[in-house]
Amino acid sequence: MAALLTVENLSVTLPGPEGPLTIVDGVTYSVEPGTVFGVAGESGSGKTISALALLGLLPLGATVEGKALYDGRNLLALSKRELRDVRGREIAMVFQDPLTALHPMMSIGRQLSEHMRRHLGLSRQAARRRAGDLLGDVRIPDPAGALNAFPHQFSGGMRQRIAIAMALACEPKLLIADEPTTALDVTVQAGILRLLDDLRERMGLSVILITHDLGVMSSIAKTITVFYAGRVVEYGASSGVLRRPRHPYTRALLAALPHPETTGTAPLVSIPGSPPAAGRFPSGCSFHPRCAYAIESCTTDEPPLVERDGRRFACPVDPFRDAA
Amino acid sequence: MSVLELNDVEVVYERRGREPVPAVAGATLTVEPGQIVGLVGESGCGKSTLARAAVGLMPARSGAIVFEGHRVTPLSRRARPRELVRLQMVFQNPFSSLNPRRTIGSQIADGLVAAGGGRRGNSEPIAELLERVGLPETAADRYPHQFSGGQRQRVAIARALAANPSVIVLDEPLSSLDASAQAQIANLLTELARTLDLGLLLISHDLAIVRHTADAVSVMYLGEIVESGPTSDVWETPLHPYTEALIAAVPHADGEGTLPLALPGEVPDPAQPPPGCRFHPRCPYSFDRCETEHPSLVAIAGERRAACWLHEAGGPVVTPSAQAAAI
Amino acid sequence: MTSTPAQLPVRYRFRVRRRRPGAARPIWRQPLAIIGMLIAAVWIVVAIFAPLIAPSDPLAQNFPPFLHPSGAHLFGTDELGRDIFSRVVYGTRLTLPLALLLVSLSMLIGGLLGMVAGYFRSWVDGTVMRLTDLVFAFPAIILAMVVTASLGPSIRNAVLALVVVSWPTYARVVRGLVMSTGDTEFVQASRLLGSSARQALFRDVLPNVIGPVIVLATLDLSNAILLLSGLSFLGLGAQPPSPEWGAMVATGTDYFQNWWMSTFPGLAIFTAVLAFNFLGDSLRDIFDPRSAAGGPRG
Repeated sequence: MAALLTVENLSVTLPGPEGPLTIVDGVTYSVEPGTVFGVAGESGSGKTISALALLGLLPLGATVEGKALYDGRNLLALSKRELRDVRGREIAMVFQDPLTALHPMMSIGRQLSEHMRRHLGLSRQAARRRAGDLLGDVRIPDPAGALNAFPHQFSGGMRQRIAIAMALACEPKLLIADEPTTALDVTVQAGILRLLDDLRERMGLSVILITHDLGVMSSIAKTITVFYAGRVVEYGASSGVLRRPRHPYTRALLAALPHPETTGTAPLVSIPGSPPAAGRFPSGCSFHPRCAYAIESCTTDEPPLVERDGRRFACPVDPFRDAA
Repeated sequence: MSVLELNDVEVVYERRGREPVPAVAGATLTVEPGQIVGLVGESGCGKSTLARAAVGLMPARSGAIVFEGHRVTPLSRRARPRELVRLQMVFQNPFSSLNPRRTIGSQIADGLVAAGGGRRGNSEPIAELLERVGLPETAADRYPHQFSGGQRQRVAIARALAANPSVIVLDEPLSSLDASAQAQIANLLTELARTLDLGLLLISHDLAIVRHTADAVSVMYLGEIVESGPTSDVWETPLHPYTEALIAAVPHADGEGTLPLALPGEVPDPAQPPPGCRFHPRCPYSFDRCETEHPSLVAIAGERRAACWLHEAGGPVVTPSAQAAAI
Repeated sequence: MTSTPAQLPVRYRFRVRRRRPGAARPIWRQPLAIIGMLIAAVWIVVAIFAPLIAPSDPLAQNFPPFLHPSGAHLFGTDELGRDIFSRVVYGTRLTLPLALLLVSLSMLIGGLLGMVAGYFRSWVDGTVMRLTDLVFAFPAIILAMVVTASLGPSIRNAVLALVVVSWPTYARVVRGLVMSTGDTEFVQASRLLGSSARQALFRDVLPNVIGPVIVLATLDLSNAILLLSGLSFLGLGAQPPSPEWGAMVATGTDYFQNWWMSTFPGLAIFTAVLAFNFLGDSLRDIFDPRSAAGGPRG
């Protein structure tokens, strides 16, 4: 099946106090249509910036290299006007904090309608009707009443649903969701995850789901790519990556999660050290200072992403090759 | 004998110009020496308010809060009574819980003074405390902004420890930290509780960490404690339907691709709770009694308690689904 | 698996020296601050060494009147034959100390009232706030004029009047800071450790209040210079023959064709106000609690 989005060698630098800082360093992946594609990583790994680059939402002074092929066009080479057409119509984005995505002074109905009228050219009535339908799609109770209400009258989970409705207003094919459930309670998060999965199934929506929570990833992502220090370190089917990780970082991330078996007795495992800040990425394999399996060549040679046993990962040492 | 006891505590939250909100409507829990008690619940359940009332930062409208046999009185302009100083608190935000204009050492020294020491000649005890929480002794002369979130939280813990506490209430101490720091601080807390025989009341929305760290857990919903008991028991056979839903909603990183179960409906306004059992509108097992009569937290088999009409006091431990099927 | 990482030398991909995020640039790197400090320093030096710098007695009417600026009289002479340069130089001994006095008194009185209002709240707060509202209801210069005029025009009464007009700003700022800092978690922690509200006020709250107040005071200094000169310009402050800059500008307006009579005192006011303004701005950056530096020790 032809990929919906293919990212090739994406690199992003942001202006720093003493020169440009590399945030994303040669990232390659592709998103299949109608699937949830997970981008996992800790804060500072470059996962959010790489997504913002696709939509041209980087801050002033940022430089971008590489290609992002969507529907035959390279998103990174589009003009501002062309990008504006793509944003919202083809590719939409949902952020962690729904409060900042919604205008506090405008009713929900008006925000949704204005958005649709501008992009789809609908009449006021048609837009309003469609707005009500959208709210129903995202399972907001009493959509008609909700149209007249304001963002502050809704809970965090409801606001996130509204933000998703706004993102879907112009029927995009791809939704980028950046930590969409991190700020929500666990039962509310479950609702949003089910909603996203439902939308994927009903509307064939593709989702790039960016999160540090591997549990969330496990529940809806079909493919996972793991980011570390601006690079992809592992990439493959989510069931495989989570059950039999091949890269030491992925394995360490999974080991750090509280496990039912170790309750009460053993302390929680954490990866020694902390993720490197932009501009201070170690040479060779960026993970080597924190890796228990690093050898001399790990400090000098940048490990390429190689495919083995149906998985792509960047670790020439490959210590878990025979692990269960 | 419990070192901290909360009995049917009610806390009302004043709002300027609007009606007061009954944030906690009768909560009961205890902390034994050396025991880590987890208090879990989602936004708006009142757990943070309860934590603040437990240490005296907020007044309780009714109910008893007893620490080492003394009543916990809310703070007035006067200094806190000496007998309460061994009841300390660690806050959620490590950035706002340390004074940016004072050195780490002087803030920890506050704790030593509270425990009865003087202000001079404190460098050794301060160094010891810093070492105990895993920070170098040079940290004493530095300022908070020079440290990361995880390190600041360690300082906050050291400050609380300086007062030689027997109970520390921790209000979401891990939420503002990244994954590595969370694990490290959780381990530190466990170790301190064991070695110092320190009672901890750990408030958190992160069920996985509470499950791993806490000996006993209390589950809160809309201002009430709906279930309590030993952590592993509560996890394996939850008695209250809300606990069951909470556990089922946690996604697992097992690669199975199972979607967590969602709880229908929304948390009601605490100012206007549903009649009868507060959880009944969202409960999959509710029946007629639930809509009219309010269940209280009763003992069910050993140390387990639940506030649910599906169970009878002192009755057998049965999961809500099994119980509901039997009815 | 809890293995420790291999002990390998860590080399970095890019050698970048990073400034702590959010830290303000050190004061010697900000051009405005340097200019401000230099000019302010110049004026302060002039004030201290006035007798050595001024060529003649500011009150001596020894020279021919209305002389153009020249080598002998850098700023020319005024209508009574006094050397303007000497008068401007001696003027620093009036304006600067008085402005400082004005700011200090306002800061002290306003700060105290604000602190009391923020600490006790209840009716004390209400009273202080209504008083500030009362003062704020009037335009500063008008109120100052009324007070000075009723007390009698003199430099002492001008300072008094301006203190009346200036204290509310400090009261408001200090009250706000005391209240917001008082609600922070580190103050709560301090209270839990057994400090009384008063001890917490002095040990925890005030150190966080002083920074912004000092910034306000420095900026206010330039305002004070302006107000003092303004009142003197209107004849309500310094009385003749005092060499006060504002009064000199006023006299100069009667003799417009002798441009040097107003211009040089005016320039003096202008540069002094500007200098303290720049200084205050850069001090604010240093004291900004949002920067990682957050204070002079940072």
